[in-house]
Amino acid sequence: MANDTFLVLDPGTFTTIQDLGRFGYQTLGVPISGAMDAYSARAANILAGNSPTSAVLEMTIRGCTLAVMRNARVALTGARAEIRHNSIQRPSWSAFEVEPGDLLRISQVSLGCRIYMAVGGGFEVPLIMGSRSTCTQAALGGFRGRTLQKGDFLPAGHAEKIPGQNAIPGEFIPEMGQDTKLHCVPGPQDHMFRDKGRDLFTSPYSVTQRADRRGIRLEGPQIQHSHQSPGAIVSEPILPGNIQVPADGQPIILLREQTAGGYPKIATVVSTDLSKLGQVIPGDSITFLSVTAQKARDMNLEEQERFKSLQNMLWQET
Amino acid sequence: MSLKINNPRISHCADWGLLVEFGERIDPELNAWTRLVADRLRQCLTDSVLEVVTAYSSFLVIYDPALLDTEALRKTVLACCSEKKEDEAFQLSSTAEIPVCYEPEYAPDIEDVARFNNLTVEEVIDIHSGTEYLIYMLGFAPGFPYLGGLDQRLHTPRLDTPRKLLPAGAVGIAGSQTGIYPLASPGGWRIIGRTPLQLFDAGKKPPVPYYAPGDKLKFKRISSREFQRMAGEQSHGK
Repeated sequence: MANDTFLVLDPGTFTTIQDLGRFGYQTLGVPISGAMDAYSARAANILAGNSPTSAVLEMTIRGCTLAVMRNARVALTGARAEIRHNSIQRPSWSAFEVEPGDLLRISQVSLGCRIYMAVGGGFEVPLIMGSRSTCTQAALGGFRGRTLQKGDFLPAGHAEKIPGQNAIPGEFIPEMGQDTKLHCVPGPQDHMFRDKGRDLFTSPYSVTQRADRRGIRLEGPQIQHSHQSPGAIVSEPILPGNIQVPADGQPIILLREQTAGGYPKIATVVSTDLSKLGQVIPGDSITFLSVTAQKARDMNLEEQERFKSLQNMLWQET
Repeated sequence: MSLKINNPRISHCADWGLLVEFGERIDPELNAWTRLVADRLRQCLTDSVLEVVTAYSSFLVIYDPALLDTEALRKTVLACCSEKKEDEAFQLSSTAEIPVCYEPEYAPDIEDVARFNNLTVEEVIDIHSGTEYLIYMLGFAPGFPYLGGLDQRLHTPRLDTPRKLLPAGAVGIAGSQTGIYPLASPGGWRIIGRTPLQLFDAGKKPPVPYYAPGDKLKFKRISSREFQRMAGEQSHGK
C-alpha cells in the first residue's frame, strides 16, 4: 500500500500499536487498552509533530528492527535502549528523519521496560471503536489485533507539522530507576482494611514476575483486611491504578486490560503516576505515598499545564 | 419499585474516577437502579466525562478533572439519584434468545455436570434452556455476560485444571454461575454447549449485538445441523 512506511524485520518481544486508549465500551466488557506509559507516548507524538493522541509503537523489553520504505520523521522515547539508525546511534527522547532503505534497530532495554516510537502522521491502522489501541486478548484494534510479526508492513499517515525542536529538554524526561514512588489516594474501599489500609504505606513492595498490561502483582508485607471485611466484594468497575488486595494480602495494581474486579481496593494510583508503572520490571521496588484527592487533582492539572508548555516549546518555529 | 435504596456511597478513585456504590448485594432491582442512574448521568454529562461504567450495583465515572470539578460531579450524581424512581430501566429491557447446541461434540463436560448433580444429560439441557437469566453486567472479556439465575440443580464446581483454549461461543457452568465465552480464551468452566452466534463483533453497532446489561437471556436448544447452518450464515454475513 502507498502509505506503508516500515517493514518489520524483527518484531521484538511484544510490540503493539497503542494510542491513549479506547474509552466508552467498558460496560460491554471492552477494556481501555492504550499506552502503558502515556507520558512517553504523548512526548513521542509531539516530537514527531503529531497530536498527542496519535497511534505509536509500544515495544516491551526488546525493541524491533524496521526497514524504512518512505521518507518520514520518527521519534523515540521511554525506556533506555540503544537506537541504531543505519550506523548512527541516535539518542532517545529525540526525533530524526529517515529515508527509504534505512534500517532502524532498537535494542533490548537497559533501564525501564517500554520504548515508544512515533512517526510523523501517526501509525495509520483502522480506528476501531474510537481507538487504534491493540487489545491482544480480544484480538481487537491496532495491527490486526495482535503483536507485530516479521514481515508486517506498517502504514503511516502524512505529517502535518514539522516541530522546530528535535529533542525533549532534560527536565521533561522522567527519571527511571529500580525504586519507584507512587502517589495514591486511599480508597475506594480502604475501610475494609486494618487501620484504614495504613499497611500499604509502611514499607516498599517488590514487582513480581506477574506483571503485564493487565496488572502488576506485588510482593511484600501482608496487608491485613479488617475483621469484618469478607475479603471479596461484588464485582465492580475498575480504573487503571486501582490497587486491589485479595485474601493473601498481596496487592495487585490493575492497569489497562481489565474492566471489572472483585477484591477490595485499598487505594488508587494518581493518573499522572501511571506512566511510571509502564516502566517497572520484575524485581523493582515500589513505595506508596498517600495523598489527598485534592492533591491528586492538583497533580493532574499541573501535568496538563506542563505538557502544554512542552508542546509549545517543541513546536515553536526556530 | 419496592426496594428501598439509600443514597449511594461515593468515593474518589484518585483524580479521574468517582465510584458510586448502591450496596453490597447482587439484586435485580438494585442492578436496574444502578443502570438507570448511570443512564441519567450519561445524558447530563458529555464532554467532561470519558465514560460511565456499570457493574452489579455500582458504577464508575471516568472524567477529566480539568473540565469537571469533583464537587459538581458529586452533586450531579446525587441529583440523578434523587429523581423519582420511574420504571425507565425496566421498560428498556428485552429478552435475548441465544441458540445453543448441547450435542456431545460441543459439550465436553455435560456428562460430568449431569453425573455431579444426579441428573440425566436431557434433564441438564431442559433445566439450562428452560431458565430465564438476567444479564447483570458484562465484563471479564468483551461481551461476556454475568448471568443471574442458574438453577441450583446445575451448580457444579470449576475444572481443577483450566483448559488452555476454549472456542468462541462456549457455554459453561462454574459454581453457581453460567455464562458464554464470546471469544476464544483459556478457562476453567465446565462446557455444556456452544452457540454459533458471534457475540462480539467490533465492526457492528453495538459491538455486542444480541444483548445488553439489564436484558433477560434464554438459551434455545438447537441441533448440530442447525448449528452448522447458523455458523455458516454468520461467516457469510461478514
